[in-house]
Order: sequence, then structure tokens, then C-alpha cells
Amino acid sequence: MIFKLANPNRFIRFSDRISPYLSYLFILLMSYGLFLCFFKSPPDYLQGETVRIMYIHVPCAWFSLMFYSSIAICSFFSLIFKHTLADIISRALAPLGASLTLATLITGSIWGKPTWGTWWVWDARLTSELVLLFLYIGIIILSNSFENKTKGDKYAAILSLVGIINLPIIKWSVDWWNTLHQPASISKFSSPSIDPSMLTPLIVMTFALLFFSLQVTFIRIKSEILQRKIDIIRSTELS
Amino acid sequence: MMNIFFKLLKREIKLSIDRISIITSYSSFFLMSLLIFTFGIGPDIGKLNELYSPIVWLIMLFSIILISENFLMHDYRDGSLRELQYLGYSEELIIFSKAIVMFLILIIPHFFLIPLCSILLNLNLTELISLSINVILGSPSLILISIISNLLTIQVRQSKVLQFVIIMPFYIPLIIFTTSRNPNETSDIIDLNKFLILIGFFLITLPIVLLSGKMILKEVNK
Amino acid sequence: MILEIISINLFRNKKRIFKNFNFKLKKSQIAALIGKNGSGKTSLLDMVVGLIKPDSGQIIIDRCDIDEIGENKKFKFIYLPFIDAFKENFSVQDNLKLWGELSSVKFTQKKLDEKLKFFDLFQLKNTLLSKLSQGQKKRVSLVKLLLSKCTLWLLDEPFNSLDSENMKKLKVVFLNHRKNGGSILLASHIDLKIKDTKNVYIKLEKINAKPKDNNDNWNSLR
Repeated sequence: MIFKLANPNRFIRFSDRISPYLSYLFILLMSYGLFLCFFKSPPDYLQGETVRIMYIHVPCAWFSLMFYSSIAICSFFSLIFKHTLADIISRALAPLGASLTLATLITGSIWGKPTWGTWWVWDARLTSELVLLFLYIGIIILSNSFENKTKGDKYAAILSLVGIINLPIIKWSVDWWNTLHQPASISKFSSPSIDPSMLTPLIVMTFALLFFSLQVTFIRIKSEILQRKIDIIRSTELS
Repeated sequence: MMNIFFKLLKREIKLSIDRISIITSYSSFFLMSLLIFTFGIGPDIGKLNELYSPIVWLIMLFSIILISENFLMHDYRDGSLRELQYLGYSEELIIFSKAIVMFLILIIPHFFLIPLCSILLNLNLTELISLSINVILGSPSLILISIISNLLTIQVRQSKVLQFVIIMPFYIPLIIFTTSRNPNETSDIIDLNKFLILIGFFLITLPIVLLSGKMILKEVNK
Repeated sequence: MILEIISINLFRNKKRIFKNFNFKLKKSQIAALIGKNGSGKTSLLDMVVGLIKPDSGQIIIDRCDIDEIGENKKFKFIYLPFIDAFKENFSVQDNLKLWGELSSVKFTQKKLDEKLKFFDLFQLKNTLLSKLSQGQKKRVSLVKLLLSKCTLWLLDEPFNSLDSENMKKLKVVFLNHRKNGGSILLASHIDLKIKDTKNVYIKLEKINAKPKDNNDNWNSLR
């Protein structure tokens, strides 16, 4: 299917058909999820009501990492298999992933204020999210630094592949750095055993965010394809 | 293949010997940043002594970003990089020879800068030796990372900030490892774990840089 | 058959530059690629030399595919690009010696002086390249032709910036090379009047604004 959808016109038809369903699913799941978050899930023993931020923070964190991996996979397809849409998908995902990373950081620091007392703490997870944000920003700026979009795509693809290989190293070293300087700290951001009443809203919100991201990505891909078609027509008119 | 590699190496050294300005600009930037750090932190010798390692590594990062364009950007602009490619030299050897020459050229200023640092920051002999070994083991990785960021931005004008944004995530593990102090290690000079980690980091970075550099050099000509 | 270009297709910058282009160059033959600026002459030479890969097709030099020659490229042909790669802060002599080492072309000082005299460059042999005019720089790169022993010459606008006297000298060099069994493929934007030259005209093909099939439209997106 990956190669069947490589034809951009077929992709646009596919995304046009699916888009309404994605929007309905998103609205449905988002409302249900918010209802579960605010009314059905219990407040935490230690943190009180502020634990509800976890329902946005955790899905954002998961997706920020998942989108970076998706960008790396698309870059691999683009460079090795020369898949025609892979570059465009990377371009569409990058700002979305960067925004989700930013959302993770902001919600993380909002969560941290009541629990830790400060707006920012150099926790291993938050620090690696910050590094991930810089990886995203590097890809976005690099892909837009060239007049020729295809060139920018290729360089950004190489950078994202180098980044994905280094990402485990970075995460591991930040973890190690954190434990080195703060010998005994239990991160309140991770709950070792989640109660089912907290798990359900989390999963619902995760799927809501997934459909939202898919919808946004499809819109961005479609607009990028149309923009490139306009560029071709403009350049053929000039010559 | 070794003949070809030594030929490239000889050529790079001949070209770089003429660029004595690299060494002077590196050294002056290093010393001036050190001076500014000292003015910022204060004359308290105790504080400077604690922070010497991160200070030195931070200054090294900025200095290498500053001077690394001399090795790659100038060669791209005057067409020498293309020349090496159409004469049949493989891209990996080109990048590897450039990395080695950068390392050799930068050893010269480090040779007198690190002892100078030790005087200014009041380090004792053991700290000086461990800092020197750290620099020797860590700077190859830093040079490789700066080469990759240079190659990615070789066709972009005024790319210093972009280079910094690209280098930053890859430099973070390196600076974490070089400035860490293992509290369990008894000997001050030989921290075998840290040295092995730094060597391992270099061995991981090397193939990544060579392979991605090859892909970039193939893209550059289009 | 020294050079064979078989069925190459090339898309660049959303334009189809070559469509099933075929060309063969025999021993003792001079061929000129003539076309306007931007018609793809330099791209064709870049493909022959191996800097760019065509979208499809094959290039065979001396019965070897260009991708497989590798290190022996410097023995199979000599390529003089439009703007040759020179180190600006080295002298004429040093530049040629650097090039000689890189291309494995051996020559004595006496032979170098003799070839420099042919193009009236002997007095300038110790001048820095940055101080030469365009025409003089072109003559320095043409000296490489006299020093090289390759049979296939690939030249991009060799007559550019030359005055009429040096143009005559260059034509003599070409005719001598052809007499000795060598072949030349040169690109030029004007029609040169060299006896028995095979002229190959290259025109840029216009693509329609509304393409008929979707695939053609999409290929030009890359």
C-alpha cells in the first residue's frame, strides 16, 4: 500500500475520502476523552487535581517521539527507495512534531510547578524532550534553507537519519547525566502501575490526538502537493 | 588504497600549512573566551577550579564551529571538492583525510592552550593530565560532528547559526561524558570507563559521518 | 570506441534536459557539444565524469562503466571544468605540482617550464593565482592538457577568455592530440571552426504546461 499511494493524485483522492471520518472520530474521541479526564478519573493521592495534565502531556510526549521516528522512516524511504511522497510526508510531519514537543515541554513545566515548586526542572525526560525539540528545529530550518525544495528535502532526510541513530545515545546519556547529579530522585512523571480508571482516559486521549495529527498531516500533505504543482506550472510558464 | 589515502593526507597537510591563520584565530578566540568566562565567574579560584572542564569544552565547541569552515567550505567554493570527486577519490577517504588533518592541525594550538588554561584556572598536575587526555580522546568526535554539520550547510549562506542548531543535539552526549566525574573511581588520572566511553563514541560517530558524508557529497553536485 | 553515452534521461529543476540521448566518440575524433547557455552541456559533461547520475541510461568509458572505474578515473580521462579548481594563495607552479600529485601525472621541472613557455606563462610561474587574469588562469589549466597522458579529453568551454593567438595555439594542440590517437569532447556555446569536428547540437526541450499523463507531471516534481 505504501507504494500504491506514492502517486500524489491517488493520495489526494484517498485523503479526501478519509478526511471527514478522521474529523468525526477526533471530535468524538476528544469529547469522550475530556469527559473521562475531568469527571470520571480520580484525583491522585499526592498530586491532587493537577495529575489531569498527564492526559495531555503523556500522549504529546509519545507522539513527539513517534513522529520523529516516522520522519526518519520516511527519510529512509526517500533516500533508498526514492519514494515520491516520502519527502512531502517528512515536511508535513516536522512542524507538527515540533509543536507536539513544545506542547510536551509546556505541559510538563505546568505540571511541574505545583509538584516541584519550580517552572522547570532538569529531569531526564524533559531534558531529552528539549533536545528532541532542537533536532526538529534543525530539520525544519535545514529543509527550508534552499530555494530548490528537493535539495532541502534530501539534506533534511540525511540529517533526520543521523538524528535517529544518535537519539538512543542522547536519551541514554541524558538519563545517565541525570542520575549522576541527582542521586536519588523518583520522577513523578512516570507512574509505575497505572490504575485502569486512569488508563482508559489516557488511551482515549491518545487516539484522539492520533486522529487529530493524521487529519492535520493529510491536510498539510495535500497543500504541499498542490503547492508543488503550482510551482511547476509557474516555472514552465516562465521558460 | 592506503597509497591514495596518504596522497590525500599529504595534499591536505600541504594546503593547511599555508593556513597558519587557522591556528591563530582558534587560539585567540579560545583565550578571549576564557578571559570573558573568568570575568563573569569572578576571581574566586575555587569556583573556577570546579568548572574548568565544562568551560574548556564549551569554548572548544564555539572555536571549532568558527574555524571548521576553512576546511570544507573553502574547498567547495573553489571547486577542489568536485575535483577530488571527478578524479576518482572516494568520498569517504576525502572526509576521513580532512578529519585527520583537522585533528592534527588543532593539536598544535591545544598543545600550548591547555597548559595555559591550567595556569589561569589553577589546576594541579593530575587535573591537567586528565584534561589533556580528555581533549585528545574527545576532540576527534567533535571534529567529526562539525564536519557533518558543515557538509549539510555547505550550500547555505550565513549558516553559522544553523550549524550550531544542528551540532547541539549531537554534542550533548559528548559533553556529558567528557565533563563527568566518576565518584567511585579512585585514581584521578586514569578513569578507564570514561576513556573507553569516549573512544566508543568516536567509533560510533565515525561510520555515521563517513556514510552520511558520502550521501551528502553525492547530492552536492546536482 | 572511447566514450559511449547510451540512452540517458535527465530531469533537473523540473525540466527534462535529456531524453534518450545517444552519442559515441571514437579514437582520433573531436566532438563539440554546441548549445545555448543552460542547455545542459555542463550537465552532460558532469554525467560523463560521474559527478551526476543520469535518471536512466549508461555511460561507458573505454569499455568500463563510469560507476565502476573508481580510482582509475584519473587515468582514463582529463576533465577541465568551466571554472577550474585552483588554490588562490598558491603560485602557478605549485598549483600545477599539486594537481600533478593528485592526478598521478609525473613531470620534471624542465618539462613543466617547457609547457609553461608554450602558453607564455613562464614569467608568471611564481605568481600567486589570485593575481592572474581570467585568460591567464584559463591558460594555466590548459597546461594540464600538455602534461597529461590521457587519451580522452573532456573540456568545458576551453576557448573561453582566450585571445585569438592563444586560441590558435589551442587548436594546434587539439589537432596534435587527434593525430596521436586521442579524442576530445568539448562543450562550447559558439560554433568553432575546427576541421573534421563532429558537431553535436543540444537544444533544451520545452515541456507542455498541461502534461498529458500524470506520471510525466510527477517526475518533474522531483
